[in-house]
Amino acid sequence: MGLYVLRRLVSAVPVFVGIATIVFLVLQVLPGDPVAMMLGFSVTAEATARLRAELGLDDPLWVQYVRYWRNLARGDLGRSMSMDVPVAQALWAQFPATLQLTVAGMGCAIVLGMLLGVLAAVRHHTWWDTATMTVALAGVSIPSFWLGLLLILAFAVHLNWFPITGQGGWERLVLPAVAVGLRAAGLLARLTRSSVLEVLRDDYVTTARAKGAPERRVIFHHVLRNALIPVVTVAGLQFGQLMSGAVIIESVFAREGLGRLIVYGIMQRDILLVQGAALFLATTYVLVNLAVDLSYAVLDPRIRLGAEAAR
Amino acid sequence: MSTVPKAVLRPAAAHDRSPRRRVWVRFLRHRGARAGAAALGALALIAAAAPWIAPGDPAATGEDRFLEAPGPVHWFGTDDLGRDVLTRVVHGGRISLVVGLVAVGVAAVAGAAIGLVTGYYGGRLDNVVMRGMDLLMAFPGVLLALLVIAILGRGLVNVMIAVGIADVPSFVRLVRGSVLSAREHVYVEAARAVGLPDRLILLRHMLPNVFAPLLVVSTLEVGNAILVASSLSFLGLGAQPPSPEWGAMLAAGREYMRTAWWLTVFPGLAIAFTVLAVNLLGDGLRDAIDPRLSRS
Repeated sequence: MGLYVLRRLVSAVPVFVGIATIVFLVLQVLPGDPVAMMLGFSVTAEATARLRAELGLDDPLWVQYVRYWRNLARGDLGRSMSMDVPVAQALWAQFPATLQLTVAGMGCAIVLGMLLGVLAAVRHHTWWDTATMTVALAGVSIPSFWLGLLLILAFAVHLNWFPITGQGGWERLVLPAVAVGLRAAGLLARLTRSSVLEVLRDDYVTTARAKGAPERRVIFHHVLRNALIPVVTVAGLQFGQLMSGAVIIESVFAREGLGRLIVYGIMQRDILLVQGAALFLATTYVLVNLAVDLSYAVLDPRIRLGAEAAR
Repeated sequence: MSTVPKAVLRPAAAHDRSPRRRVWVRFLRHRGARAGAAALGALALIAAAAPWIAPGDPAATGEDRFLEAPGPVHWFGTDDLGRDVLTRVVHGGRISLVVGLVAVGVAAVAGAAIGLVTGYYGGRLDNVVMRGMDLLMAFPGVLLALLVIAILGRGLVNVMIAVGIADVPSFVRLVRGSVLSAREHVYVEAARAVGLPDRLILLRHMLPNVFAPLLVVSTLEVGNAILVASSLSFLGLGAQPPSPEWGAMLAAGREYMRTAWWLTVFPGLAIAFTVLAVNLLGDGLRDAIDPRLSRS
């Protein structure tokens, strides 16, 4: 087990190096002069030269690359020009808000997705099935930012059940979490349905029913336990997608977070801020996927034993 | 004579069983596919005929009809500048469909070209390119698109490029996978043995093999591209005012959400309807081309 974890951790290192290198190259592939782009067009040659020297853009590429890694090792992602604070500091300040929204969205996706999926499978070929699967398909097709606007319109503007926008308190988290999670809920509902339908045909389910077990016990005790393994796998892998969804929803609900920071960075042409946020989010994405992988190895011995046997 | 099966007596029956015919029949029997194709066809028709269906200028402002609710004259109401929302939604369809098709078209062509070459030649080139693709896939699609826009700047063309670049790795993987299995087939070996140049083997023998899965994934990706592009326009990074792009319309309408619900509802409905149609068509194509992949 320890060896498997170590191997997976080591395999994530080149991915991180690659991501960091791509993000480093962003500044190099900017069309034209990146400094002119950052400063705008009405600046003096002196100011441009000063910033070029400050960023070390006159040095050879490999010198810049080595310096980039040295700074990265110290957690230094540069200084945001528009906010006049270190980029890392700005990112850490916004990260908890994005994480909170992502986790809430994930919870919403799991509860809603599994509930709809089980309902559709148990009431197979009835209007319940059709209705829940239609909701699931709509969840995949509706743009999350539009859903966010509709939720605001219905539950905040007209019904007045929730505050419209902003931060703080669970009541300000409910609508954005539903907007972030509905797409994943649609996917999970479809997956749960097909998984439960498959397990319902298994012999041990027939046996349980033949022994006179109540239907509720059959579903919750026998069917769900086995049907949910693939669902949990996909749910884990959806986390990264939800995080990028949260990035857009933050703007809809005027919430703080990394998404709003990136949009602000692009608007202000603050390339270092955008670079840092992209590296931060991509690294989080890789780490989450790694954690999901490792958790399966803990939960399902076949995965780690299979990996060890394949060696 | 009476024991001869009827199918033998009807030469057309043999033709009925050709793989292409079977796919077509399965496609026509698929309810979702029919609905998706019909809806998408109608949308394309409306978008193409926009200047005749909604003859007004989508950017023309009206002096005495600000924020009018939907009614007999303006079915979808008017916006804060007195512009007819229906005219703008109809014209916006052109933009969204073009953005989706161009972004995915470019990604599919680039991805197919890279996948064909790396899959066919293999070796170090394949290794390097695929590691690069793995890295690009490590970025969530929206994040990669945001990064590209940070480099290229705001604007609809840059959104198309950004969405296209974010899509390339999935096409490369798909095509490379198909080529890897196809290149071991006897007919490819035969083509090589008779001295057919690699270029022709790739175009004549490999490309037709990957065409079906490429078509399915491309269709499904068009829906995703429309979603991402409208999200970026909503954030102010894509189409700019006064463009009638649906995402940009939603961004402009949110200011008046309390008083003018129609500015929030209709452009979003148009996006959802289009993406739903594309997804239904894509699902239907997938089920028709490879029924084993069908979702139960």
